[in-house]
Amino acid sequence: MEPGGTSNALSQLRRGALEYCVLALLEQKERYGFELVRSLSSVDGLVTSEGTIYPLLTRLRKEELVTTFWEESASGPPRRYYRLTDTGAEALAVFADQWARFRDAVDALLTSGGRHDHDAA
Amino acid sequence: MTTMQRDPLVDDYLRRLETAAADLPQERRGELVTEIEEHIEAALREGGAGDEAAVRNVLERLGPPEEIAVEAGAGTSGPVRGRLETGAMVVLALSFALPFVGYLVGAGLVLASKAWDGHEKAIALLIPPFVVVVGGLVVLAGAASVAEGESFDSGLGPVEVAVLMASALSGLLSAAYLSHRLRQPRTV
Repeated sequence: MEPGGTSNALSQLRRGALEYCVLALLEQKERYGFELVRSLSSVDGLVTSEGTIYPLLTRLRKEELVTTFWEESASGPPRRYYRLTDTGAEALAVFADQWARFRDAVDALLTSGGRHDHDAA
Repeated sequence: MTTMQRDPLVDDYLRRLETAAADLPQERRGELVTEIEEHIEAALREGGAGDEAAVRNVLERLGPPEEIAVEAGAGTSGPVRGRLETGAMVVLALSFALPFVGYLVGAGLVLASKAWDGHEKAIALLIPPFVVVVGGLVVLAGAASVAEGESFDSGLGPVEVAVLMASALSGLLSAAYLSHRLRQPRTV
């Protein structure tokens, strides 16, 4: 257990960022569920339980940030593919912009500047 | 659907998911279980080997079924109707048998429950007083007009009877509303 709820803060951050990671992956190309899940979980530290991505995909579909369609597969049953909608692309663009600012601000405080000033005080 | 003999571990996992997702709407629950089932099949097909170690690995990566169900919104609807909620609704519904006291006890139980939010509690608890007050005003107006006609006898007229009935049944109305709200899926 990390001090001061670090673990909870990180899991909240991860949760919030994850849906935009899904949108970002879909911006490149349409993908089916399993493919999306494995792409996300191959990134270290992003996904702890693969199964929780499916409810997330359902939410994105309800919010009309993605649409789905079925396609036959050569090796098994038909697959449900996910595609980014225009709304989804807009949401992703807004997030990407805000995220960059947020990340830079936090980085600036965490690295030399903010922390050393604090230590010196 | 597939010819693959399903591993008992997978069956067990899907059953746990089904149980954990029990309070989701049926359609949503079915969809979730199907998606996870398809994921397991795809993962095993991709992995080649369908031995126990492979199955365990796939299920481990998926994470606890309870966590998936929570992510899908299960368990956010507050406690499903328990003894407290049932008691509260029964007392309110039967409060005509013990006017006022019945209502107060029912109100106490409703307030103690976490199954309804503040808004729902307020509506439910305001229904009986509202009906009684409005009913009282109707009776007063009726009595006044009857008195003018000088045919007023001290017995209960049809208006008074109706008001008494309404007051008695207002607890029932309140209980019905609470019961209805319990059945609504919550969005958090």
